[in-house]
Amino acid sequence: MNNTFAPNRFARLYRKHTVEHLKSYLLSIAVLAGILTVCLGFFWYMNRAKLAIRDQANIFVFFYLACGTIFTSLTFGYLDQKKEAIPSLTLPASHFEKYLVSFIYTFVVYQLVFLGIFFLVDGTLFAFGAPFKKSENEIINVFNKEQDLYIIFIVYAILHSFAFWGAVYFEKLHFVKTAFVVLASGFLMVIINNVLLNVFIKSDTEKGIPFLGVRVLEQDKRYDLYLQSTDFLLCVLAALVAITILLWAAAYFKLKEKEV
Amino acid sequence: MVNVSQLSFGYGKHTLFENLNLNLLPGHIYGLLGKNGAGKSTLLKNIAGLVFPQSGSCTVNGREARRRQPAFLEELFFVPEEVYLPAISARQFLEATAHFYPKFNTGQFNAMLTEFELTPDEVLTRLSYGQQKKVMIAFGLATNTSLLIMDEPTNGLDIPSKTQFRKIIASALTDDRCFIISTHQVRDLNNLIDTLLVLHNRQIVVAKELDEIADRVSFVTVPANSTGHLYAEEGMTGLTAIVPNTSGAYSKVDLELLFNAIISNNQPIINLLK
Repeated sequence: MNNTFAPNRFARLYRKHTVEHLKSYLLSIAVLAGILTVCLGFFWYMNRAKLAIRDQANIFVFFYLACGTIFTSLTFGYLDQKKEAIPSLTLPASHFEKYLVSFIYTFVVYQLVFLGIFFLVDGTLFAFGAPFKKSENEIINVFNKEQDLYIIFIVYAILHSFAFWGAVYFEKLHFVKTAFVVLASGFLMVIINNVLLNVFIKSDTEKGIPFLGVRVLEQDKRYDLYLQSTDFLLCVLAALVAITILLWAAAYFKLKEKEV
Repeated sequence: MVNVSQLSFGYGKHTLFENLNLNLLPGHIYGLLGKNGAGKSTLLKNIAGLVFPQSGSCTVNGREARRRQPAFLEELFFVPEEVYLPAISARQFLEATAHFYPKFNTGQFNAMLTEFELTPDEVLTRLSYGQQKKVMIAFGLATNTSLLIMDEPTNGLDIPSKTQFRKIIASALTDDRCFIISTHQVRDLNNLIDTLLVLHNRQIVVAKELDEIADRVSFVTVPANSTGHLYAEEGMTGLTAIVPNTSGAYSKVDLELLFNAIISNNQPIINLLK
């Protein structure tokens, strides 16, 4: 018997999770569709059946990230309560399979469902607005490189890793505690970054934001120091990918060591 | 089957077990007794791999509990004191969960639901606490895992259900299964267990079959002013007492009396039962 991953056992676990959570997931989808309808509908109504690209993008980005991170933060909520945690931890499936079910639901299924609902609501409003349309109307394309919205998928992956780690690491108030840790870590990183800049650069540094570069003051002149654009982007991306993978791995090992 | 070796465990500075040893065999129903806070549930959780020992080890069929591997979990079912069931029917629960246990017997599960007067189509979350517990007990027994752990299984059961529970447990025991039942309601274990485990002062102070206990001590009623007993409590018609069994005559083990004697640190009795 493979005690780490068996496709049949994983499929059974995935099915069990789906059967037991289907009602709450469907209800959540209905609520999400309602909220998006209200928000997009408000702008649609105020702009006389027209939805500006910027309004659509703002609503998309906010709800995509907010709903996704909240949903992810709750994914291991059952481990907080002994009576739910015991049947889950003693169910004959591996930690990796249990981890993977939650990962797929929060990372893959969520994104597909959100995209589907958003464009269903958005498309419906456009269809309703078509007869009243006085100027050009356009649905946003999140995959279009010119609109730069595709970056949101990378941002979601990073935030997902934090939320996923927080979901298994903390007991109760997962979202709030994770958000606090992320903000505190960011703040700490800025401080440490400035301390290190002052150690390495003898001139006065005016500002230094982690991963972005530094502005140096020398003889009343300002010099901006940045890596060349390609190197800079690669460095930032590599750092973020490393953090994301580390947090996903940390969540797995924490789940393995979970006690109730 | 269950081997607990040199187990030490505690929460923070509070030590619950110190170098605790225990060996449980198949074909037995073990009754685990202990005062509130003695660590009965924690010991069961150590055996099930739900908490990890500070030192020592817990194995079931040679597999280390703390690793919680599927091969280990397939042979273990844990009925917790407070049960959790999802908002689906017993039939759906069966379809979604039973196949994780290779020896699951659906006919046995349905028969036990009938015995408990439950129908498989009712949504589990709409059942009363006691009924939910019955579903969980029936499911646990039908898994046919070699180790079945039940923590306070009779809490929430009414008197007729407790009788049904005893009957069902006795009928489900086979030579290759081992049941551990933990409770603080000593009377619920009467006519149910064949081996007594008492957890006291961070140790298992008694681990003996009831027949062996009856061989060593007798449970008798004696006049109020009599002496020479190991332990006694006032009863309606005199003293209910524990005396050394010197004649070899059989007397039914009074679990409550014996438990009270042990937790009052009655060393002669504890030594006699070692």
